[in-house]
Amino acid sequence: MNIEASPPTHHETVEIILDEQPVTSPSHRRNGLQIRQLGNPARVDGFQTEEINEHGKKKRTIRDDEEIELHKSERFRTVPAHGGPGASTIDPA
Amino acid sequence: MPAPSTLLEAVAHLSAASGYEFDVSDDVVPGTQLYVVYTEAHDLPERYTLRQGALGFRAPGMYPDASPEDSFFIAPSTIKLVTPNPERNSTDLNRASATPGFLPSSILAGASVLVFSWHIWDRFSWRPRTHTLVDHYTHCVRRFEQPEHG
Repeated sequence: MNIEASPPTHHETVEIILDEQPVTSPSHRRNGLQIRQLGNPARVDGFQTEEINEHGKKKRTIRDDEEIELHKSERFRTVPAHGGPGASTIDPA
Repeated sequence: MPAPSTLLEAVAHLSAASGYEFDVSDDVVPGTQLYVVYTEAHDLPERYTLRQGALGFRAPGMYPDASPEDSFFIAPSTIKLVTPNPERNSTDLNRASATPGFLPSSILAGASVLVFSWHIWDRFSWRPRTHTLVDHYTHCVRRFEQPEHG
């Protein structure tokens, strides 16, 4: 019998770590905004999403319009999006 | 007066989240209500003359009701750019200035530090139940990703 490997489905859920808490994404592909929306609602607007390593060091920023493939146990954090010289001002408070 | 437990817990959380062992001063900076949150060995950008140095900031005893001070420091204050920045023709770190007396004498022997003008909380309101020392720290180290003349 010829059994072919099933192609990966992107409709399965995947558990990632967001702000040190496990969260479940309903799909394997999400952008930076959608990743934040899996966590604390107070940390969506005015924040950006960073992928970090197991030691908490930043690997890269995931833009809100950048869709990425999520893998089990990958780590992300939300950080304030603005500040520093020349930064634009958005204050949702 | 030792730092309050809320600040100590926040510093412990910062250590766990950042991968660096942060400590907090036992005393406030003279003339202020600010404690110093710092680590003595933090990675620095390759363009600096030292690849590791102290890094920290000052936070109020009433944290989290009040934000950390809107700046951060590195030490020693003798850190320069390895090569002069072509836009400024200088090896001085941009927007950083040596500031004696920024620390209590019990921290880093009261050394002069380089204080970075690197604001966020003057343009993005501190929310005590949302923002954390980790947020302040991640903003601080974003400075190292920016162009030196930025």
